[in-house]
Amino acid sequence: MPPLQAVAADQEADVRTRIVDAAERLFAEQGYHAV
Amino acid sequence: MGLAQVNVSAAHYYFGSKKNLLQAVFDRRATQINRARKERLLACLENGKAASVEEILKAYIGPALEICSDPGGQLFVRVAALASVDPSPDVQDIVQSTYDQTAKLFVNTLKRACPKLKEADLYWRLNCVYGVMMYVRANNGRVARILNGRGRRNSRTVQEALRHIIPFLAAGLSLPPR
Repeated sequence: MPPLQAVAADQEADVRTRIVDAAERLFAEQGYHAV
Repeated sequence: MGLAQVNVSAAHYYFGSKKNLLQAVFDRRATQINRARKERLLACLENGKAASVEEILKAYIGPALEICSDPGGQLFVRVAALASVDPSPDVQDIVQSTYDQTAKLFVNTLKRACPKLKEADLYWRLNCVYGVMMYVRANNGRVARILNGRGRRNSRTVQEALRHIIPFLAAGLSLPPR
């Protein structure tokens, strides 16, 4: 089983990736200033 | 932020501001573009080699078009196109700083290959290079529509685009100085 800290780091990276994915879509579809 | 199943407070917690979030969007894609550009441009300079204008153009434009095939790449292309004409200083800071290092390497490599060109020649010809790169990448269907009325060409590939645009741009850059 991976250490707890490694799991937490993976989860944080996953959240950051999902936020960047969402931001990319929003900026593309609505524009930077509309968000 | 519902699309990502995260909320605005999470975005604020991890990135602090909208500008930082845009920077993160650019960093993720541009890191890949910049790495490929740098590797290919440095290969053009290896062992004091005199690379051709075509090789240099391909090294710089290729990675910008290849990103279109990545998952989500088309979204980034749209963000980058909108950002490139956005007058806001925050957005311009990000666009310029993200690409400056490899863009300067590109210009310096090109200057070595075209030593007779004056600053004004390079200025106008680089405008043409950037114009082609951005327009081809945008793939908005305008040219196909006015050419044959059929709209966007979805079947085109990066290699097909490069095969057409690189010799055309190289010929323009290789003209005598004005």
